Amino acid sequence: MRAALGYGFIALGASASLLGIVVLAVGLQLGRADLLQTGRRFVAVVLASALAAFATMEWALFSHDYSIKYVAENVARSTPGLYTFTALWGALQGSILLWGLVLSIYLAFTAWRFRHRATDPLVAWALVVGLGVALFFFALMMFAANPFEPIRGAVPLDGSGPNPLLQNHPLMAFHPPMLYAGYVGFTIPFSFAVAALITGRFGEGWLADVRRTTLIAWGFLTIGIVLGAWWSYEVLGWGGYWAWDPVENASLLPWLTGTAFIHSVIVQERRGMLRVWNLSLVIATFCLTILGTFLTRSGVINSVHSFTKSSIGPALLGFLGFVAIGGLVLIAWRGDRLRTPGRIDSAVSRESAFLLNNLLFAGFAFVVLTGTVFPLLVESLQNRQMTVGEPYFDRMTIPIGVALLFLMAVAPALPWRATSGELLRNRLLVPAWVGVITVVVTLFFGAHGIADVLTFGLAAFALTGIARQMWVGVRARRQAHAENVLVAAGRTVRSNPRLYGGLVVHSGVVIIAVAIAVSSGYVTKRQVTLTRGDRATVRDYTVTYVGRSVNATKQKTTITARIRVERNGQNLGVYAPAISTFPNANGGIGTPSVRTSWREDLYLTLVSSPTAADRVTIGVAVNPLILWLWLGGGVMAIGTLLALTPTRRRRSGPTLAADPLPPERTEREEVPVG
Amino acid sequence: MTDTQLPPVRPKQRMHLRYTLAAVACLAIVAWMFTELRGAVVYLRPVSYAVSHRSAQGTRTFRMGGTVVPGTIAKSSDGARFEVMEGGAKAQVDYSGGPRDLFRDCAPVVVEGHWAGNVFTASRLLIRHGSAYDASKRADANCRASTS
Repeated sequence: MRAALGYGFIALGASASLLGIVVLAVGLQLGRADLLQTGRRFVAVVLASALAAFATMEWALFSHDYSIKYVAENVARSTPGLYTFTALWGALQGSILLWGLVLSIYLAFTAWRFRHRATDPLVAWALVVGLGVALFFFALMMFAANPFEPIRGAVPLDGSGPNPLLQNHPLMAFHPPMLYAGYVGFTIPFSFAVAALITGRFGEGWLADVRRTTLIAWGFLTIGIVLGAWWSYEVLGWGGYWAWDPVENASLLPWLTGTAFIHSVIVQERRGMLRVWNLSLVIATFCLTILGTFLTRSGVINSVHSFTKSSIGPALLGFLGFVAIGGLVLIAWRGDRLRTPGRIDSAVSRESAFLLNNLLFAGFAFVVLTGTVFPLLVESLQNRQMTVGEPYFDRMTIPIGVALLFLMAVAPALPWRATSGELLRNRLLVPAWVGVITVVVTLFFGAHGIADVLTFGLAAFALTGIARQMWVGVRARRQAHAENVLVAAGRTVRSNPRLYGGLVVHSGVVIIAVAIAVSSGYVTKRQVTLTRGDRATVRDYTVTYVGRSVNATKQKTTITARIRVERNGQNLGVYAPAISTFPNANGGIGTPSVRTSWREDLYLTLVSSPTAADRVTIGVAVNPLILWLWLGGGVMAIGTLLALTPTRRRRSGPTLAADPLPPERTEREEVPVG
Repeated sequence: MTDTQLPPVRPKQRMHLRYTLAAVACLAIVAWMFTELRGAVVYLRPVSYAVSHRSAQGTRTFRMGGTVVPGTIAKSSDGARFEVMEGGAKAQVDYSGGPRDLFRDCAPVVVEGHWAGNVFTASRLLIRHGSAYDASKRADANCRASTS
């Protein structure tokens, strides 16, 4: 019954998308405002049906409706409530359902936000494109990946339960939805870009329209990636957080082009340049989200030949091809009119820095894309299976990363158009010296490798530059308004949230860059085998094996070793790395036990569970500065939120609801720096 | 710039020069990329292929995929020794590293390492977590039946 109901909602969503497209298209063709108004309302139906389908699936999961194949394969009666809820996005069909729901929310938000501009062809076309994407995903669920597919044969009494890795940590509840909120959100800027190309209005208007949504999507994607790294670190137990795995790369790729896009739009808003870049970047970002879904969800990574067995693989690949070629054709068609009168006057200027930024991010994405897709191409052409090892990614991306860090330190200080040596000295001399001193100090304390040393120096350079820029803004405000520091700081940020939010995001990036360099280059790792009561010392830490316990539940059987940890004689408590085995799975999974501190993590894994003679092998790793990775992610999220706060002028503006355009314009009046 | 001292260059020619330079730079970067790519490639070979091409492989690192032969797992002080099989061929694996409680008889595994004589010395062990449980259960049953 639930199966039919759920499928019905999906069919309703598909029909509403299709009808909306038809009504809007006819309205656009005939220039009928009433049809455009009506077409817009179909988005609400799409949202309602996606919500209803989602709720029906949760209902089926919680009531263990094993007549539905998805439920039988992903939830066992012993599965705890949280993981029953998250099972909705634990496998292919359900994750497409989540995708559909998130897209409907974004579309509804967009339709609501532009409700007073419903008859604007740009908005109407954007809705047509957005509904087209929704239609594709609903159709995918109807014909290729039906989450409500009934089970064949007898209805089982119990299900298999989620993949063990997906029911071992509560982060599972947050990481995928965040990632999807990021991925799917890029549909909106993509829709507006296509609408701009179709209507020929590729000036700054559409950029202003999608700026907030793009930032929201970007923020979610950032949080999603950081949470994914965190989950990998806390659950997988290999001690790292990033392995250049295709699934990880799939989330990073749209982030790279999306980041380039949110920077590059500033140039177009300010100087009308880089239009082709912006359109290409946003279309590429959307394509990469589809590619990411294809890579992670079609089974293509396990084997190129398995993906054709699922009907979703070819469908996604076909859609990807259609979008990519369609985007290229549109840009080529508008080619002549996309030329802009502005040009870059000087190599040392803000706009050339942004152009270089675009090139670096595009290069970064190209490198990662090639490393990810290369094995798939080789396998499909030559039938040889291979992987591209981490050395390729490390060696190719570290120089680009360092160059980006350099740009981040220098570019915010560059003025538009042209610069003078005087001005650069004024703005960059102190930060540069702080960078140089940092290089010397870190070398003294044992930093090694040119990339590491450069990272530390440039990080200090960038942070000092950010601090300086903020201080200059606050000081100017204090002098003008005689306010105290805190009030002045708050008002400065609110006077130009985009600039200062961006600087906060930059400081988060700097923190992460340093944390990556330190945590990957300065790890101490050992394996020790201990009989009960034995102790071993790794760096400042002494670990003692004090006992074991076995805990068997219906969900899993967990063997835990209790390890007492001391540092320089001070007792830090008992930590318990474990290994869990699940009834329906091939292997077990290890659960590390991590002691986190500001300076370093002590990372304990159970390598080999206690033998009859009560001997146990544990992995002991001291990972420096790991906490700062997550904190850096938090700082980036806070910066994004800041950048999203309305400007002060917007609040007092009389056209608050009527027109979303003006506030974007005010922000172009950047606070003069220096 | 020093345009005035040089023979007059028409803007068009300068554009050509720029595009040529950009193209050369792009080509150089792509060439560098593919060199790095080739160096970092690790092939995945089934056990049968790895065994039949043992001499040709030398000590080159690759990944070998197969199923753990039941009853052959012996833990050592720093790892484990076991046999893997696929396509009628078997290979002895000497694995050092952890965690090693995560695989068992008949588990589908991929080991990364190289040949050292007739033994495959592995430094990495990956367990293939099947996403379709029915299929992996069937494979498991087949594996047990074939060796008992």
